[in-house]
Amino acid sequence: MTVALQDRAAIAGMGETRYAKHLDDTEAALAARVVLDACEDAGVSPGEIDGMVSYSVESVLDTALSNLVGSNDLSFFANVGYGGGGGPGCVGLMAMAIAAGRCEVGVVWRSRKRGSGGRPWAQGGSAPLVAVAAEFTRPAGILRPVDEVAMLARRYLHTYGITREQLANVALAFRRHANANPRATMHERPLSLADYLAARWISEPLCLFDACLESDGAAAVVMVSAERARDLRQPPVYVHAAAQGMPARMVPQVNYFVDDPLLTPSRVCARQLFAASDIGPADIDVAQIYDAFSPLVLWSLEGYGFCGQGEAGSFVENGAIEVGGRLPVNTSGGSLSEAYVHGFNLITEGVRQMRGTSTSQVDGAETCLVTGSETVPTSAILLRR
Amino acid sequence: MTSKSTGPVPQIVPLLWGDADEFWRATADGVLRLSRCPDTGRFFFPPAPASPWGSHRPTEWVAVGGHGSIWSYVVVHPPLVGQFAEVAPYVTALVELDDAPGARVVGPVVARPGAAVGSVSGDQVHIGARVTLDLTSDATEALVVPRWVLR
Repeated sequence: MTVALQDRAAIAGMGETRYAKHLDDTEAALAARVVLDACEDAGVSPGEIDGMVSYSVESVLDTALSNLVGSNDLSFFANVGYGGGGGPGCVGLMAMAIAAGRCEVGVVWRSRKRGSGGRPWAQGGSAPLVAVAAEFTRPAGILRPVDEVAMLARRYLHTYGITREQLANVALAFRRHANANPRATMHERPLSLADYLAARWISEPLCLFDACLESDGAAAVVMVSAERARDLRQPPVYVHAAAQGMPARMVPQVNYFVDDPLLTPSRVCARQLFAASDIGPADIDVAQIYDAFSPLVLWSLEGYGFCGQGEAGSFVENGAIEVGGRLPVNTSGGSLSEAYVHGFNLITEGVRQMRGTSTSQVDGAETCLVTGSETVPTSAILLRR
Repeated sequence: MTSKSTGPVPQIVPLLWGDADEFWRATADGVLRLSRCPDTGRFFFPPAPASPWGSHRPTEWVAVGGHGSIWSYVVVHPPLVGQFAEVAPYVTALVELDDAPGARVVGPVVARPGAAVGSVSGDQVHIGARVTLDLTSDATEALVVPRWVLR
């Protein structure tokens, strides 16, 4: 049993920009805005910030952000790798730093203009963007993240006899949550099963609505010790447990070469997460699951133990992952229907659920799982109020 | 995703950068060579300089046969870049080789040896379909990417 981290650090404040296809401000300006907003939300001064953690792919460096927000001297600063796998890992790392006394007021952020900017996979030439395997997969025509996920999705649907109609429940549930959320890009755009089945293909078996939005936006949280959080403006949201997971012999994005590629990275992360937790899968009231592509959600539902291997297609039927169902998932609309900011809006929505302020609030929710991406080395946090 | 332009289409080609050079040298010579652990005899992919198993000795490069089954596949649709933008939709597959279990190899599925990427449609392909390796050299390519022909 790992106890050093449990509930010792808390998220005390959060900030978010508007989410849109295009925002005029630069990524640096957006990052500064959300960090200042998070400090204001918490009731701490930006001059108290002495710790910073973000994704290794974040373009607004800690040095720049420190200048922009007028931080204190930083005594802890670090990055977590693997894009969307790393968001909860950033929060978990900051929680460890605070619990270990390495810093007192930490900020975690992501600022990204994916909507306005280029698609990473469309950059010119043949430069591999991920590890060695891309050297083989991109010249073979597996160009985009959606293609990489579709290869595993095809095998998964085939192996377990899961239909497109079952997979559609992911996109439909998150869209309904977005329809209730005025911040969501797809707030005013309902989605039906007929719409889903008629959508154009992107990479068969995945269609347009299986793929996330392309968004501009930024979000941040400010974290302090549990003791300090209880004296601040907002109710504390405790980091009950945090974990990372990188399976043996993993190849990021195209993990096609291990014995069973359908055993996704969340299985490794879940073992450590629940070993360090008083909360098991059955005790989790609401979940924010990384959803750059809809099959990732099915894999994580299995990986974090909400159902057995191959059972997620049935699990998501009959409104089970909508508010009112047995495990509401991505209650802001997630990456598919609110905004795609590498999953950071899943963290802020987790905070809202624990504060009781979501636009799709789960009544009496006391615990929330937030996960990073499948198909890359991943991470997760368990929040509690 | 690009509109027709007057310049050449940027090509997406393999890089030679060390650990996998032997793979590309072999395909250019018409042979599929994969890396194998000298201790356990297990194949692994992508190629690496040392085996992940046993005493982690340097990889053996072993020529393998060209018969296998489709483990999974995608039908790729636009928006796309490079030479692939002009041939979409196309099928590309992950193939398990009969004589190198565990070493799944990726490549486009084509109608016959030397046929273009995009020459088969998605409804001609299924998981488990038998395929044969095609290492037909294309004079426009510096290196030969394995392709799979439906049997």
